[in-house]
Amino acid sequence: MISRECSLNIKKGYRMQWEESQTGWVILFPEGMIQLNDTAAMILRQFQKPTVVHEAITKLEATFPGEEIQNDIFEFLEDACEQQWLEPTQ
Amino acid sequence: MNSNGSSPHNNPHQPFWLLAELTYACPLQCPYCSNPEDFASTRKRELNTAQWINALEQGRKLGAVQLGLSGGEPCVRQDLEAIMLAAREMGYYTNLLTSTVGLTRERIDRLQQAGLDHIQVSLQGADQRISRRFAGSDYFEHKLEMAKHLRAAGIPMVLNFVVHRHNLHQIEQVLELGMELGAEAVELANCQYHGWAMQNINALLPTRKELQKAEEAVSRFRQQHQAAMPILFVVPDLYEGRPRPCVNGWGTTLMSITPDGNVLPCQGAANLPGYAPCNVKQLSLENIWNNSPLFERFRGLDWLPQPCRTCDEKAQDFGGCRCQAYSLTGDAAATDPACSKSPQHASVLRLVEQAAQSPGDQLIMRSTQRNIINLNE
Repeated sequence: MISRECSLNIKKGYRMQWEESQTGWVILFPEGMIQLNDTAAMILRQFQKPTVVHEAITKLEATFPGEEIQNDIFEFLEDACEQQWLEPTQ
Repeated sequence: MNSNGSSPHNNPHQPFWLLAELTYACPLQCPYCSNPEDFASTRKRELNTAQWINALEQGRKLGAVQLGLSGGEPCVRQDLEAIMLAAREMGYYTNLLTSTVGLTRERIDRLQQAGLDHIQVSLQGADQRISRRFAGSDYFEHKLEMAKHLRAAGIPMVLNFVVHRHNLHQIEQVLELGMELGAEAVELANCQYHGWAMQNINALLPTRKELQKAEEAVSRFRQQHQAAMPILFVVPDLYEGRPRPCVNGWGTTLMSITPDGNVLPCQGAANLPGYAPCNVKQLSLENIWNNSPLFERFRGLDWLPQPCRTCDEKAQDFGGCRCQAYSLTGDAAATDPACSKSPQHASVLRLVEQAAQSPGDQLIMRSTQRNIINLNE
């Protein structure tokens, strides 16, 4: 379970980058690639360096003022950790 | 063909994967090598550093993002670091596919600084004896030492173990080794039977029973370790009754460049007759990817022969492997006979039977000299 105090980052050996040829963000890993939709990219970009979850949420909330996005973000982060795109900071 | 570059016509595909075979030179002599049998002929015409970097730039513009630096043994190239650095700066995710021969701790550090993202280390055996037999010389200890340094340096490492009848019994040992070395994953690879592997098929092809035992060993290991380390193990397609979706569909995802600049839809295609590959020294990669006869020949599904044309699985396996079809039937455009629906499937069954009956104790090592090993000695 992810808590607000958790520090997460993109998994070691994985890399997020903008791909011009696809006009989108991707995650690159050994011999593979995942194309990210806009929401996923926005959230994951917060974690390109080790970042504490509640700080990332604060930044993302600023992008969507007035909207209740915390639960959605948590749900996404759980999923991203299970997919091994994100890992707890070592 | 237009030699100053054409606009891409109806080709929606991008070559995500660029495989750069930097050289076919290699100190190992693995009898299942996927390099051509006349590999030595390219040594004098290898692309130089500038030519490789130019090719990589063109690849990037076409949408290539995963780069495989391979060979032969890519570490034979003294400009590996320079190519790596250029590739990383272009935004490639770099994968080095190596035996580790030619690496040192210092070189690993330099490659890391140059932007090495991931390394795939080949294993020819789980111990010195089998490793020496199939690699042709003593490299096992060196591989272990390099693997330890890679782990210490934090470079993601995958172990690649080509399995055959003389090392299948070592699967558990290899998996244990993978765990010990902190490998991200272990790939238990199979040969596609063409070229060197085809010459040695009697010595390499395991029996169905041997494969079953191997699958059980993998399954046990997965259970014991709760899938902590991913294991990729695919049974050879000769036993599956269905072919492999080779290269994810011809000319859709992969572009391979040989040491002398020939551009191929897959590494094995160099030997397919009738369609001379285009060369990056003469034509742009964009032109080659979109228009070259070799790429266009088997692109899409319209070229498929029967029974594939009316088969409802054609979009899953695209008729299988062209190189295997050529190797086993003499016709690169035939249904891959690994498929039980192929009219030539019986020839595969005969081949498998023949391998099972054969003592399989002779290996023709990958060499420019005739080098035959008797495994009983």
